[in-house]
Amino acid sequence: MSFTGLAFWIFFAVVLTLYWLARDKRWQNIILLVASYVFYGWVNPWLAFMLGVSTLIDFFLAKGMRTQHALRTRSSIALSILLNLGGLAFFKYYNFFSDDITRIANTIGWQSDFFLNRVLLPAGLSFYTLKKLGYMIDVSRGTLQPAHSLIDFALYVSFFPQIVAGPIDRPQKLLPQIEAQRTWKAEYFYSAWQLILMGLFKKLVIANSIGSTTDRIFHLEEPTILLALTGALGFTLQILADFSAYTDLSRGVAFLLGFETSENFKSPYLALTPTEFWNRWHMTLSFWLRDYVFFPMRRFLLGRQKQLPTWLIQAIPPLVTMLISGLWHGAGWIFLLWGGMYGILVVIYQALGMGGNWKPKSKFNAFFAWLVMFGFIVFGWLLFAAPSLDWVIGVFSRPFAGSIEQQAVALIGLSIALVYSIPLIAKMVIDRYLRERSMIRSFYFAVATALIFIYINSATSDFIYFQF
Amino acid sequence: MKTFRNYLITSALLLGFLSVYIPIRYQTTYPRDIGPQFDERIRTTYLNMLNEEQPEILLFGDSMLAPAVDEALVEGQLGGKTHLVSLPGTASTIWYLIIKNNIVLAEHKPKHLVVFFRESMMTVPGYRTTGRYFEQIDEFAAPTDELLIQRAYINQMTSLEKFMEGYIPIYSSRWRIRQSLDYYIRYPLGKVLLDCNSTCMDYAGEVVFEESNLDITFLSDAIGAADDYLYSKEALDFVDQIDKSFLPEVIRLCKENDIQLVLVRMPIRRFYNSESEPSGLSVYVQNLGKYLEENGVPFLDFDHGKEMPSEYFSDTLHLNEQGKSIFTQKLTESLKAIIK
Repeated sequence: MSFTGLAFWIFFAVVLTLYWLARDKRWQNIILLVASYVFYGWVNPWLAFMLGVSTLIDFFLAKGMRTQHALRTRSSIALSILLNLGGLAFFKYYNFFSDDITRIANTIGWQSDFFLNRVLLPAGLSFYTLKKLGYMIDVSRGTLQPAHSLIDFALYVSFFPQIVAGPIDRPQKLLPQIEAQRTWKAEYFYSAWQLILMGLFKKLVIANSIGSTTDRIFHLEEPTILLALTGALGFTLQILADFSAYTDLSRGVAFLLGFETSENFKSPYLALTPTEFWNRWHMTLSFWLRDYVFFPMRRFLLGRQKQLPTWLIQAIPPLVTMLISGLWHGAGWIFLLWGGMYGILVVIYQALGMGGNWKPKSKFNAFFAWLVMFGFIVFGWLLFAAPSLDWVIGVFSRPFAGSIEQQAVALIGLSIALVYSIPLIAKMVIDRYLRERSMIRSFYFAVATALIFIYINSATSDFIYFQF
Repeated sequence: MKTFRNYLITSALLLGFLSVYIPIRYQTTYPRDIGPQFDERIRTTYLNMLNEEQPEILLFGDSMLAPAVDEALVEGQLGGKTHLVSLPGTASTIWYLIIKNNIVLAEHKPKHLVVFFRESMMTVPGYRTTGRYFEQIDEFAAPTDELLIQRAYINQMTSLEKFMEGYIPIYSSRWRIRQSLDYYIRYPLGKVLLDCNSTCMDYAGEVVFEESNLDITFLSDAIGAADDYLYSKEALDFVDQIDKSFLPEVIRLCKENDIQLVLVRMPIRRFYNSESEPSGLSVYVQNLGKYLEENGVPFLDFDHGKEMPSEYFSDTLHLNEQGKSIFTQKLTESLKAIIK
């Protein structure tokens, strides 16, 4: 079920009605849990079964940690990490081996679609695995009490507005809301409508319109440099519109259910440094990696300050964190390279004195820093969207502009990217400079509504972040 | 709250203005008749071709046909003048229109009409009828073709869509508005920098994104995604679909005009073997075969048993040169028994 499909909104209307009619939080949570499993298992019930089993295991492992028995806690967290990361690694790397597995399956008489339909990359696995891991680590550290109720914990893991593509909310933020009594307030609606409208607008009008051209450019066997750069620019816009649309819709739907969930984007393409970019882009993932990978590693290395040189202590945590971020996004050298690129950039910027707290001294410096960083971001997305490393290397061994036809197509791509960036820039300006009740803001939303009517039913692509 | 109130007022004003402006601009009524509005002109390409070339056997299908069948070989083996019409991106709806508005109206009608299809294509009237497919439907459709409008368009809509089509002009005219928007979004840079107009830019797109320039996996995935509809539960429900489709009409038109209709199910490579096909497909094919037998229409199923190995295909749907020669041989052997 996609957030932009009619089936979802019918499903949600039914859930919302039953949910607010229930009044009692236990019944509300049961309704949401059932709805979450129906939503997740809609296409393939096998996925919901897997989610249920892994949730049960983690719930009882976390309960076991309450005994204050150090060895038991250590073995529980080790088992949980092994199962969660093992599952994630298996499904992420399955693509590498799927052809062989399918061939073997066929030779022993199993149908090939058994694997293709039931085992291949469950949507949202990367997101709910991090949610569970964060919970387990916090319980093992003693910074979080394990959930008393299996229903509450299962709902935290499977909460349907978040299960497919985040945000990756921490248990400290979401579990208390699940455990609290909720009654309908008009504020929920006033917080939700703008998010839902903008989510639909960004996905149906912006992301889908850019996607059709960008996808084809990235599947050309031999694109020119200009075509590849145009594709990268289009993808830069498409992935922001697509992913932030999903987050907006997810947050809007959660608001209607009485939950406040986390933001994921704060104008990421205005970042001046790589650290700032990751503090603005997919923030819930960045903060998860910061708290569960970067900080522990840094603390560990600082504890060995005498044995290790300072530059190594400074360089290893960002490098490893960004490499893990790359691997989380996908199995393959291209994702590792993409993550590694950001790791190296963070280290270089830090060495140049442009770390997390850096502020430019003049507007010219700020503009120059933005231009350089934006260039890195676009190049990063070129790597990310490229079908293979050989493809990227091939691009830079070809002519810049190519034939007149290739130039014309590059100009079409550029035109599309430029025009569809206007509504995003306009929204940023409105949010920054106009007051909440401004009529210009209302006019913007009215035009967005009209454009949704025009663009609806004419694009069908999925949210890009579903595949992670 | 005030922000929402302001938004409601502004949206109502804007949608109200557009609801007046759009019907005037596109000369449509309000409320609008549900369904597409076709222009009066009907192309006679195939009517003219039949009268000029006077073929006895007409082979008819989508893009799968040309790479799969050697026209000259069929003609040589069967002994009657043969003509092959392979129309990329078409399906049963446009085939019905061409049969109804071109083939049966020709002075010289073919004696045998062999239609090549895949999976549930013959009974899904809403397949390949909207978006960029609409233009080619419009080429062969008349504004008065009620059956077409009902089965291919109105029957495919939900109640909400029907309401929006009738009462919300911005929705019902969305394809035309998008076409205009796309024109202003896609072409200005090319016009200014390369002096290349929309035709020249579209041609550039065709050249650059030509099949041979694209990654084969991407192509196969795109084809697969587009064809998923043919395997939906609804599409594979033959009993429910048959009377909503154009197949009974195609059979009736051919019978009334003394044209022998033959249906050929093409081999494809989407599934490794018959066991891995969607379970509903084999039941669908059985029901189709039974229906055609009852109506005296010969049916050749070349996908049964998956006898064409994958090395004979250039992608999931299209045969390569080697596949073409083998398939043509099999086809002519089967047709010899049917076409007298």
